[in-house]
Amino acid sequence: MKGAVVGVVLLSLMAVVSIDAGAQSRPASGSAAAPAPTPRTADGKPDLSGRWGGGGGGGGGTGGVRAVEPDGTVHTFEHYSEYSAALAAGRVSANAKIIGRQPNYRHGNNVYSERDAGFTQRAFGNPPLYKPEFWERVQYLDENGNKEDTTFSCFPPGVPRLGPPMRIVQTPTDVILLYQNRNTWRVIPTDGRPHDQENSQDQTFMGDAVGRWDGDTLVIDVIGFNDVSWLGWPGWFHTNNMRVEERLRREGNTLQYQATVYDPDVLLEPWQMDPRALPLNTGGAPFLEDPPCLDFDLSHMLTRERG
Amino acid sequence: MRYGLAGALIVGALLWGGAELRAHHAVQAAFDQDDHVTLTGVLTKVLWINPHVRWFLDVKDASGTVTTWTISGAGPGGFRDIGISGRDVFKVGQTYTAIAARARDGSPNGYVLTFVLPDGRKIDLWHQYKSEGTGAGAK
Repeated sequence: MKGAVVGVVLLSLMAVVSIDAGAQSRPASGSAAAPAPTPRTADGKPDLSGRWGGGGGGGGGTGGVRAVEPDGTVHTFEHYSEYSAALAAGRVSANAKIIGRQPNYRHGNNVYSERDAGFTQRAFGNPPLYKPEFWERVQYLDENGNKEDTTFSCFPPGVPRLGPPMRIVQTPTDVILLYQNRNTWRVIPTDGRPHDQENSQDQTFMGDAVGRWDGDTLVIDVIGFNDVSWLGWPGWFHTNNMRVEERLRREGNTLQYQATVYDPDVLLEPWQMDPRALPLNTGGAPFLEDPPCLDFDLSHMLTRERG
Repeated sequence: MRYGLAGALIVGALLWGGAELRAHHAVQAAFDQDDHVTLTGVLTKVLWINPHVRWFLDVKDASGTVTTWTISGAGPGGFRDIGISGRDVFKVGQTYTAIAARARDGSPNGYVLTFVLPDGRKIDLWHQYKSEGTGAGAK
C-alpha cells in the first residue's frame, strides 16, 4: 500500500518537476550562502540581526505580472505599476491579457498544488513518529483537517509550526523575533535564565521561551504550550507537555534554523523538523503588516478534500 | 534555470513550510473548479485579508433583483508583492466581471479565475483557467 502511494506521488511529482525556481519568492535552501564572515556584536556574540529569507509573498510562485498580446508575445513585469507604465507608453497594447500571480503549480492549478503537497508531506514529509496507540488519531485528524486543523479557522500556528523568524533584532539581553505571519513577535531573553515558574505553566501557542548561547549557537528552550496547535499539516498533533528546542546559528550571511520537538506522551522519539537555511535578505523591501486572518470559508466546505 | 525532482521537492517543501500558514487551501472543498459562473456587477468592497482576498459584487439579474456575490482569491501577500492590491486595479463603485468557480453549497460565493476590468482588459488571477481570447471585448 505504501509503495502504491509513493508511486502515485512520484507520478504526481514527475508532472510537477518543471518548477522555474527563478520565479520563486523564497530562495532555495542553502543555495544563496555566500562566503562572508559572521558579523559579531560588541559583546562577541554572533549578530543574528537582519531580515532572513524571502519576501512577504504568499508563496506558490509569482512570475510577476505578465501581459500576453493577441499574437502570443509575452511581456513580463515585476510589478503591476511597471505594466501600467508600459501600457501608458504604448509598449503594451490594451488587448494584452494580464496574468497576475500565475503559479508554478502543476497545470498552473492550485488544486493540484494542494493535492501534490498533501501527498508529498504524507509520503516524504519527515513525519514525527507517534506511538502506535495514536496512529488512528493522526489519521482521523489528517482526514478531517478542514475542521480539525485550527489554522484553518485562523488560530495561531504556534511554535514550532510557525517556522523560523523572518526578521531578528538582537540586543545584549534579548532577541526579538519577528514574523510577517499574522504579525507575530517573540521577545526571548538570552542570558541563560531558567523558565519563569508561572509563565511556563500557561498553556499558550508560543509557550514560554528562554535562550542561552551554546558557543555560537543560540539555543531557545520553549515549554508551556497548549494542545490546540499542530506540528504540521497532516494531523500531527501534540500535547501540552511538549518541549521545543530551537537552534539558530549564523554562518556568514546564512541563518541556520533547526527545531526539535520533545513530546514523550505521544511521540516514540524526539522529532527533528527539517532544518532551514535562510539567506540574509538585503532587498530592502518594507517589512509590512500581515493582513489579519478572518475565516469565512469553513461553513462552505462540503467535502473533506484539502490535498 | 530549471531544477529536477530533488529541486522540486526542496522548493516545494520550502514553499509549503513557509506558505501553508497564510494559505487556506481546500479550495476544492468549497468551490467546484469545473462549474464556472460569470458575474457582472458593481464592486462594493474589497477586503485584503488572509487567508483569502475577498471582493464583493452587486449583481443584478434579469428581474432587477440585486444579489451580493462574494468572490474569493488567493492570499493578499502575493497580490501585494506584484502590486495588484493597489487601488488603481480594483476600484469600488465600478463595474467588474468575475469568472469564478461556483460554491458547492449554492451560496452566492465564487473563487475567482478571471476578472474583466472596467475598461475591458482581462486579468487572470492565480488559477489555471485561461480565458478565451485576449484583452478588450474578448469573451
